[in-house]
Amino acid sequence: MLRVTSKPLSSIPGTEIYWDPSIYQREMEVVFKSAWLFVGHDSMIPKSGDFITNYMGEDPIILCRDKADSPRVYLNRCRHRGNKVCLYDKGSARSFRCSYHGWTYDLSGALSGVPMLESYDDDFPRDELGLVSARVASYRGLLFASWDEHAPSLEAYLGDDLRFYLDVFVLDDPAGLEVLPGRHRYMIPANWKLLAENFGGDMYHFASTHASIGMLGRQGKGDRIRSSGDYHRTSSEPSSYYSVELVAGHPPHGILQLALGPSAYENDVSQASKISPDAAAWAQERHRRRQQLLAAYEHKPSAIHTGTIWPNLSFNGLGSAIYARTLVQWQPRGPESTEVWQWAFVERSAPAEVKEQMAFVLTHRQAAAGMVAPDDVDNFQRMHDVLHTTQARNLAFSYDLGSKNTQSLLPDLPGHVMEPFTEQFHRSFYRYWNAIMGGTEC
Amino acid sequence: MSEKVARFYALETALLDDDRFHEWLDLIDDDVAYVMPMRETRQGPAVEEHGPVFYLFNDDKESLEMRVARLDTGFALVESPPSATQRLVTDILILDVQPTHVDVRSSFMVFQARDERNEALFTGKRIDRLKIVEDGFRLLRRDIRLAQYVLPRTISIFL
Repeated sequence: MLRVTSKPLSSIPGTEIYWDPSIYQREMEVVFKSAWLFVGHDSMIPKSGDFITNYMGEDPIILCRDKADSPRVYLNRCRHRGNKVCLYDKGSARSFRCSYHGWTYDLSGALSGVPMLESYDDDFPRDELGLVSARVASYRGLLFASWDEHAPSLEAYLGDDLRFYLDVFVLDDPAGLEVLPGRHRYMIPANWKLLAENFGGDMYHFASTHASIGMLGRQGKGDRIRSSGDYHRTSSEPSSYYSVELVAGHPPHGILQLALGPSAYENDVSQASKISPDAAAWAQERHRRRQQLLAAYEHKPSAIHTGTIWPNLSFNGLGSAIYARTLVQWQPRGPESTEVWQWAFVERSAPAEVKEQMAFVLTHRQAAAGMVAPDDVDNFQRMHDVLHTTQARNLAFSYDLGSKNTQSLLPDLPGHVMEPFTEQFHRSFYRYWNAIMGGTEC
Repeated sequence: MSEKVARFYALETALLDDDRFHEWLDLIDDDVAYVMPMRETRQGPAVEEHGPVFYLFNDDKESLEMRVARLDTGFALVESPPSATQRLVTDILILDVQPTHVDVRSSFMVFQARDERNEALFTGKRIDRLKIVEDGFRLLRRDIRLAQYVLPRTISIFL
C-alpha cells in the first residue's frame, strides 16, 4: 500500500483500520472479547433486582444486582430462540422473561421458568440453558465485564498508574459518585478508535476545534461554564499542563490536561464562592483531601481533565470541581459508525446547589447538545467523507506530533508524563492494537 | 387567541430557520426555563428521582444568549458554515388560557443539512408557556420531548 506521510511509523496501520469491514469484524473478536469493558456503576443499580441494559461491543447485555447484592452481567438473549429478554433501559425486576415463548430467567441467570416443561424430554438440559454470563469486576464502584475467562484481573488491566489517577481525581469523594438520570445517546459516523484516541491523547485539537469556547471566555461570556483550562492565564500562577500515557504492563490508557499549579484550585474556589458559602467550604475540603492523597509526591497536580481507558471508555469533566464527571462509552456500530453513550455523575458529598451547577456545566460543554462535543462530531463526520474515496484510501494519517522521548517529565508521578501536545498516546494505542490484532504478544 | 398563537409559532420558526437568532432571543422572556431531557425507558414502578438531571437543554435566558454568542464568534465549527434548517411546527393545541399566560402543546420536526449529504431529522413535541405581553407573547417555559431515543447527531441548533 502506498503511504504518503512525512515520517511513516511502522506501528501505525493505514486508514483501512477505520473503514474495512473485515478488520472491524476481527476487532470485535479480538479487542472486544478480550478487554474489560465498562458496563455501569454501582449507583445505577443500588438495590437487589435493579438493572440497566448496556452493550459490550455490539452485544447487548443486562447489568443487574442479584439476590446476594452482587453485580451480574448477562448477554441479553434468550437461550431458546435468541430474542432479547430485557427491553428497558433501566428498572427493577425479579426475573427476565422472553416475550416469544415465555422462557424466564431469575436474577442469577438461571432458567427458572419453561412453559409446558412436561412436553420436553427428561434429558432437557435446563441447567445449562441459563443466560450467558460474563465475568464482572468492580473498581471502587466502576463496574467492568469481560467475556475472557483468562483475562488478567481488572486491577492488573487498569494498572497501578491509572488507578492512582482514578483514586485521586475521579473516585476521591468518600461518599462516592452518583449517576444522574438522563444518559445521552447519539450517533457519530466514525470509527470508534478515532474517538478513543481523541479523548486519550489529543490535547492538540483544543485550540482549533474548540476555539469558540476560548473566545467566549475572553469575551467574559463563558463564566458560568468555565473549566480550569479556559482561564489558567488569569490565575496568580499559570498552570503547567501535561499529557500522560499509562502503558506499562497493560493495555494503553491515556490522560489529558494533568495540571500543575494553583489555577485549577483557585478556579474551583472562586466558582464555588459564587454559588454559596457551603459550596466554597466543600471545594476547600475537597482540595485538602486530594493534597493528603498526594502527600508522598513531590509534584502535586491539581487536576486532570480527560482520558481513555482501553479500548472504548473515556472520561471528561474533571478539570473543574464545578463540572459533572462524565463517562463516555464509544459503542461500535460498524466500521464507520459509533453510538456514543454518555453518563453524568456528581460527587455525593457536594452540596445540592453544587450538584445542580455541575450538571449545568456539563450540559453546556461536553454533552450531546453542548458547546464542545458537537464541534468534535463535525470533524469526525467530514473525516469519514474523505476516508476511502479512490485517492484518499491510499493516504495514511500523520501521527508524528511530539517527542519520542520515553523518559517521564515528572518521574515521581505515576505513568509516562509528557509535554501536553503529543501524539505519543496515539502511537502506543495503535502499537498495542497492531500487536493484538496481529496475534503477537505485547 | 388561536390565530395569535399560530402567528407566534410561525414567526419563531421563520426567525430560527433564517438564522436570525438575536431577533429570536427577543421572543424569549427574561425568566425563561428551556429544558429538553433525554428519553429513557424504565421497567417497574416509577421512582422519584431526586437532584439534578442530565438534560440536553437546561437553559435560562442568559445561557441561551451564551449559545448565540458562541455562534457569533464565527468559530463554532459545527455551525460554520451554518446548517440549513427547516422546521415544521404543527398540531398547535391551546391547553389553557389565563390572564397572564397561555399553555400550548405543539409537534415539531426539524430537518438539518450540512456538508452536502450530512442530514439529520429531529422530531418531538413541545409544551410551552407563553407569557401575554402588549405586542404578543414571550416564551416563558419550554419543555421539549424528543421522540428519539438515540440522537442522529449531536445538536448544534435550537429545537
